[in-house]
Amino acid sequence: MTPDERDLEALLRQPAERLAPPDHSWEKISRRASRRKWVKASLSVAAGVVVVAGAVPAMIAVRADHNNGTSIQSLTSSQNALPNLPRHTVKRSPIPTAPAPSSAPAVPDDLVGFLPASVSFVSQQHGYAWGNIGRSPQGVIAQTWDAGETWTKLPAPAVDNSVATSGHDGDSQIRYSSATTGFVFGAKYFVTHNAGGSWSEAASPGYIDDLEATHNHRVWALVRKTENAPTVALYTAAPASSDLQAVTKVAAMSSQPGADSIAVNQNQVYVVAGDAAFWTSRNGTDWQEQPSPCPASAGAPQHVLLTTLNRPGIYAVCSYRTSGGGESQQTYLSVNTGKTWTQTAASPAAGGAPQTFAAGSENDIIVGTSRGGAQVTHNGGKTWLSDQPPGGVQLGFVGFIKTQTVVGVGTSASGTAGVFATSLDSGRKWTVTNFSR
Amino acid sequence: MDVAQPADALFRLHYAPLAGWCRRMVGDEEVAHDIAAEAFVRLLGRWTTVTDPRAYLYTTALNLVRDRWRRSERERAAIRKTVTTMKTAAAPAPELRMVVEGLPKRLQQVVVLHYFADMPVDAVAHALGVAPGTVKRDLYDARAKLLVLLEDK
Repeated sequence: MTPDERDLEALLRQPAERLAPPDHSWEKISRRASRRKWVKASLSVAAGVVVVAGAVPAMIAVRADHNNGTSIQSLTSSQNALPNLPRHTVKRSPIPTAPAPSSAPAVPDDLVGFLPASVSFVSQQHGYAWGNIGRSPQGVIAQTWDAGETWTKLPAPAVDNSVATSGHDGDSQIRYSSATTGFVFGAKYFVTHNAGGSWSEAASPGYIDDLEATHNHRVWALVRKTENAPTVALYTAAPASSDLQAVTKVAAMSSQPGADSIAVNQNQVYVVAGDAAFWTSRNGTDWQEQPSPCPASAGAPQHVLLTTLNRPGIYAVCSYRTSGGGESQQTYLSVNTGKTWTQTAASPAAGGAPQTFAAGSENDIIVGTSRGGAQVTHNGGKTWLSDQPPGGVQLGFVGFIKTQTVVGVGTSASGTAGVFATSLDSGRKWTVTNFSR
Repeated sequence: MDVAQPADALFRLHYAPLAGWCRRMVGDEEVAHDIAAEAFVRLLGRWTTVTDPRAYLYTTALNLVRDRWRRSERERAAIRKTVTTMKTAAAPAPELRMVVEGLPKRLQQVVVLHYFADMPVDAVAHALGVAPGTVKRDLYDARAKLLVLLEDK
């Protein structure tokens, strides 16, 4: 770089001194916006309207498995968009670009003790977390505009999200199908069409195990008639709609809860449940039955998670109960949209149940588990690193927000505080921030 | 429909940096507040369709800054006709104005979003609906043009 180039770079990167808003600026802005008729029209009409093209989110979906008190995550879609990650809200070291907040506290008072159970990002900066605060069973939603640097509390639907309370509504999850349309689902099914400003309960065909959205915002859901029903069926809702309709071309599948997963990649949808699997390349206009990634010879899997690559590649992890009470995991790769599967050379270490599963590339894969840190491979499963990040952090929920940028949440080594972890190199080095005050 | 809470959070996060950038661009604190506030008002008007609020805010502010410059030029020209000594309003840093005005609009937007809104290349690409490689090339072209402008200056 020449001296002139350095001068130019310095000029361009010279930070502007912040200019704090005058008193009551926000109130004035809100009033001005309200006074403009076109603003009102836009807001009311836009509710339910699909977001502009190019803003389509891809999401990491986190799902809770309340049967054993752990959670499961399925990671969907391409790497160029974002994750649903779980568990906690904090002030952390900034991921690349987020500006520091002007006045937002590190952890707002109304989010102290927040324990997210699932998260859905609609852009690389903008995401929503769903969980609880402390022991309160009432679901809580937090929002970030800066890739998790800061969070604020939003209105939440009335769902008992406790895993400990008898008769609770289940471990609900949050998922956005566009920047404005989102869902909280589980035993109950809520929808927002205004980016979380308000929620309304929608009719649900049963207990929703998993829900994802393809790039045209069509929603796909795996639904059981009841929480522990032995079969699961595929449903779909049109873009911006919450009306789930049965997909008759896909037969109901036998699987235990937790052993079913949806993965999407643009307009492709791959569904696995137990030993059945289906795939569509055209948003459900036709379906092909495929072999399950989990071999029948290994027995019934406890958990199955899928994640797609930006190509015909799909990774799957199948877990099986071990005699010690843990679960062994086997990872499989398909490079032909699920027609055939090849087990990776090595498997993640046995331990807790797999909670989340994400691939940034064919080589970089990460599994978050219910015990210990995440497990990471950088060579397509030839070797695995356990307990990432080091130091005893339990990182159950992980996801790629870019090809090499991983985010995850979990608990500190002591197990008493939530953490937010991020890695800019596919999980080789981590920055971990404690969520507690 | 209640958008107040998420929008309020966005305001707390982005107002001060945006207003600070506007002040650098127009050299006037009051005008900077006006522009930043107007950008937020317009954002609220398109709340449900804007997918990257930060990009929207800075792009809107950039357009308002340009309007302000044009208006100031007209005012200065009018004053020049009637008085010999003109008391000029506070002016922006000339290099910054050059950065914005010396580039084609497409390159301006990329530079503003990347350098001033502090958005990474991928985020700029996502906001503009182009490939990251396109953004990188535009930034390269923009820097090359600006170097020429700096040398000429």
